[in-house]
Amino acid sequence: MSGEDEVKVRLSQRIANVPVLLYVISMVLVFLPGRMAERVTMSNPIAFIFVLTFIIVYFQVKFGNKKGDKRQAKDIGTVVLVFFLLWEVVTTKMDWLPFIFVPAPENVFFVYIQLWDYMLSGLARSMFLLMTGFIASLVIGVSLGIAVGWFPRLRQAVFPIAKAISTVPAIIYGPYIVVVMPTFTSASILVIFFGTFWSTFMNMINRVGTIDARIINTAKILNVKTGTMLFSIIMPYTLPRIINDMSVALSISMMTLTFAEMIGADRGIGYFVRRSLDYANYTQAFAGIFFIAVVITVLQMLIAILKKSLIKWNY
Amino acid sequence: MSMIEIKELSLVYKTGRNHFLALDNISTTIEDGEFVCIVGSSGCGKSTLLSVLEGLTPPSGGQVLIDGKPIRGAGPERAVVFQQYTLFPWMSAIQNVVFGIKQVRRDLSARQFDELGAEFLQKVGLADFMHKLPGELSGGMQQRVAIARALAVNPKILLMDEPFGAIDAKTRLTLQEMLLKLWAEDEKKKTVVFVTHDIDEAILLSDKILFMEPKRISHEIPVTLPRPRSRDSMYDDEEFRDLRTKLVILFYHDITEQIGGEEVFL
Repeated sequence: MSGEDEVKVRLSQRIANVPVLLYVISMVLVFLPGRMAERVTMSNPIAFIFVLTFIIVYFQVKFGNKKGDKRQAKDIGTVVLVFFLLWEVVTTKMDWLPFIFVPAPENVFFVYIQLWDYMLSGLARSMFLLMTGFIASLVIGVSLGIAVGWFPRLRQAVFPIAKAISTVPAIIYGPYIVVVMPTFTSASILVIFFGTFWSTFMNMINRVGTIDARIINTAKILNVKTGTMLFSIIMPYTLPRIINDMSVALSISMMTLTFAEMIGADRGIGYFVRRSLDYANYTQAFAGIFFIAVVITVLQMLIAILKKSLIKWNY
Repeated sequence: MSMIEIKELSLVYKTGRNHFLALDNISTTIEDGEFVCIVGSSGCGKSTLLSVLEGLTPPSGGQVLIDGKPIRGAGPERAVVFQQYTLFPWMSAIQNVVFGIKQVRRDLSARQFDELGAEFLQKVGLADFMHKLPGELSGGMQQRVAIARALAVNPKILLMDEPFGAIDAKTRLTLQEMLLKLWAEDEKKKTVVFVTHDIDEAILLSDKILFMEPKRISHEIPVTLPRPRSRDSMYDDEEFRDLRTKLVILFYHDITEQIGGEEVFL
């Protein structure tokens, strides 16, 4: 077989597959007249078309990746595109569902074009709160956990207490923090901080207590001082697990953030969804929820990249 | 002078209400510059004894003196090579070596640290693998790095706990000869305490073999074979064969006792 044949096969594979078929059908449907237009003002489908096109391009990138799993890429592409196709059919085209509660995809995605500056400033605000609280919790939880975990007596005393406290979700005492703190900003940062602090702290204490004795002994016989032991040995040794936990902690922080924004914020991505729901504007609420999902996914991808670049070894 | 004096040393492990006597009233002296092997079957306490010398396990009774001073914890005059997982997996070979040097010396610049690290990796034949992570090196290479790290701090005493125990037989030969060469080329020889259960290894390396029965040193056997030694010539040597036979008998006598002395399945 020559190289040319291989390219041809790959090209036909790229074109003749289920996701591409679904994409083509969806695109055709978008341009056909639909029943919902008789009752509702339909937005320009340009944003929806962009979303569909983004999905198919992303699929093609994953599908073309030599190391990636082609079948998985196809399956995911199929599921996602079937979802959008069904959504388009049952709303815009057939108008089978109550249009107030289930908005059309064209309208949902057009919200981003209408309100992009408002949503972006909300995002910036939310990210500020999230990152401040999350990073503070991570840094303080990890370093305090390492220090406490290193001294057996301290560890044995503090671990059960931290464990007990960590079972109480920060959301429970969140309203109290909002009342006590002077500003909403400081209150929500503190709530986000406590959302993950106790579990990070507790996990870190536990990890230091159960670290491989051979690593500790090697460090001891090299005459390391306590500070070096904690931050040049134990910290890098536990780093892979810390980063693994970061993705869980990030999801919890995001949850806490949206919660905090529901009590007292005047902007932000959680606030955007809540306001839309209050005004029964489900089109905007849908747009806000998708937006949050995308933001979390991007943040998780950043953590994955961080892990890949930082950790070049395995246990 | 770095003489190790072990005086009436005993060690009791306490787990809850259970007491386990691991070392029972051990006394011996290891001379300055001597290469000593501690030999014995599994569980006889040879690694425990070494961990007392390392300073990782405090004795329950008696004491260990180095140059007349009792040991307290680890010390810069002693360096250790463990059997396995002895390198920090997130540091490259040279970073591991330099990390070791940095803990005992503060008087060098970053470049001097690197040069010193590279020098010792070169000595163990790893000049081309300096920037590899331990995970990318074979078991034998990892032990070479560990040896380089131990030697790089220029200790007076080198403690080795079955350093070649997890290495394949062929590589082990190379490492033994490398270790002998490095030990012999020092003007002022280091005192080495080397734990092993390999009889041939002990005879090849040591000036004196401390044979351990459970909990105590039962025999001190001097090895007077001329140096430099090599495996090939040693097997023909009568003294070697006598010594080996003696040790084998001690070894299996010991095992027979342990399992009841009736029938021995080997």
